[in-house]
Amino acid sequence: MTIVLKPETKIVKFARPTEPGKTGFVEQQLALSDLKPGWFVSVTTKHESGNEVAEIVTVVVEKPQ
Amino acid sequence: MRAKLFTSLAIGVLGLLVGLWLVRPPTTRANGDKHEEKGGHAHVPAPLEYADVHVPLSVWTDPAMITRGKEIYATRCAVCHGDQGDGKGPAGVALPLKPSDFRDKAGVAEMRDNYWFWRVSEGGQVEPFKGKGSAMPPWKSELSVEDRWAVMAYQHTYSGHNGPHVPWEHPESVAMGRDIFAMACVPCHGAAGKGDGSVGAMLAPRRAPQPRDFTSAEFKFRSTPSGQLPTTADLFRTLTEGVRSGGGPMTIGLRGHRIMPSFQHMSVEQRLEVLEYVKNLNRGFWERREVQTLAVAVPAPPVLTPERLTRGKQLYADAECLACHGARGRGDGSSAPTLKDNRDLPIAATDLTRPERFKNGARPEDVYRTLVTGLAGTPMPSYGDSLEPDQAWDLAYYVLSLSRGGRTTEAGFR
Repeated sequence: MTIVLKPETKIVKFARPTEPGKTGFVEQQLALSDLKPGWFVSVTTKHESGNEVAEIVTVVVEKPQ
Repeated sequence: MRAKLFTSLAIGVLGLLVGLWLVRPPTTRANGDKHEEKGGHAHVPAPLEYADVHVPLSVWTDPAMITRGKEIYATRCAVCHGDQGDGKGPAGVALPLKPSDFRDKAGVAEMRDNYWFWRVSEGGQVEPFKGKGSAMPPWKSELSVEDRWAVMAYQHTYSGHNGPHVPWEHPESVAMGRDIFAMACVPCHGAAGKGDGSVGAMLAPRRAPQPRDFTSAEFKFRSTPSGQLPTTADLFRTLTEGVRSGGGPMTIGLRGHRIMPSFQHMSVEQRLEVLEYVKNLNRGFWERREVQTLAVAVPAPPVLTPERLTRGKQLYADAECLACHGARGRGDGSSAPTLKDNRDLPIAATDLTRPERFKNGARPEDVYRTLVTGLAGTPMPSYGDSLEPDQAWDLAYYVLSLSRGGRTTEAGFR
C-alpha cells in the first residue's frame, strides 16, 4: 500500500520531558526530513481521491540506522 | 469361554488404539474457548526455534534483573505499553493491534515464557501478528538475551504475580495442551505422564519399549548429547512420526507397526501445544541454557562410496555392534538374549536389516544421530565421544547397507 504524505501531515514523536520532576511523555512535532529509514511508525490515514493520505505519522521507535 | 473373553478384550483394545490413531483433537479448549485473544493478541505457541528458550526461574524475581528491565522498559517500551504497563502509552493509542496490558493478570498468565521471549525478539514482523497490523518492533538485534529477560521480568511485575512465570504457577498457559494430552496421550503415558497408562502395558507386555515417563530425565530420541533432555524439535519429530517397532499384537492397528502412532494429522499448533504441556511435566526443561548450541550437529551426509562401507564394516566390528546386533545385523548377537532396559525389562536388539522399524528413523541423518547420541535408558550407548563425524557416517552407511535390498542412502525409510 502506498501512503501519500502531504504538507499538512502531522509527524509526531513522544519523548520524555526534559524539565526536572516531570514524568510521562510530551509530544514533539517533527519535520518530514527528521524521519529516518528503519524507524517504526504508525500512520493514521484517510481515504481521499482514491489514495490513502496520512493525517498523523507517529514515531513508535527510532531505530538506529 | 476364556478364549472368547480374550478375543473380545483384544478387539476392544485394538479399537481403542485405532481410535487413538484417528483422534482429531478439537481446535478449541475443552471449555469452548479458542486461543485467548486479549485485545487481538493470540497466544499461539512459539515456533520451534524459540520453543526451547525458557527463562531461568531466578530471573523473574531477581531484583537486579527487574531494575535492569525497568530502565529498558522506560526507554523502549513505555511509549506504547505505558508507564503503568496498561498498554495505553501515547504512541500506542492509534495502533490497530493494541499494546499488551501487563496488568491483565489472566492475559499475562496465559503467555508462556518462550512465547513472551519470541514476541519481544521478533515483534510484529512475524505471523500471526504481522497480519493483525502489529507495530511492535523486533528487539533481538538491539537487546541481548539477558536484556530481553530483564525487561520481561519487569513487565511481569505489573501483573502482580509473585514468583517465577512458569506453567506450574500458571496451569492455564498449558490448558490446551493438557486437553489434547488427555484425549490422545493418557491411555499410554498415564494421567501424570509417568508412562503408566492402562493401554501402554499391553503394547509390549512385560517387554521394552514401554511408554515414555515424561517426568524422568531419560528420553531416547534426542539430538542432544547423552544424558540431556531433548529439544522441543526432537519431541516434535517423535510426535509427528511416531515410534516404529514390532511391538505386540495390540499394535497391529497402528499402521507401519508403530508402537507409538504418528500424530502428523494434528495441526502443527496442536502438536506444539501438547509438547508445551509435556515439557511442563519435567522442570528440567527450565533448568538448562544454551539449548540450541548443545544440540549435536548432524553434518550434511557425505557421498556414499565402497571405501566408506568397508571402513564402516570394520567400525561395526571394532565398536562391538555385532555383540548385540549380530554379524549380519539381525539383532541376534551373542548378548542379545540378555539385554535389558533401565526398567529391567527385556529389550530386543534392533534388527538392522529392517530399517523401516528403526525407532529413531532410518534416514542416514537419523542413524548418524542415533549413533552419536545413543538411546537413553537402553543398552544402545552413545558413540559421540569415540567416533569422529566421518567415522560416524561410515558406520551409519554400513548399518543402512545391512537392510534388505541394499538400500543405503537416498531412499531411506520413515
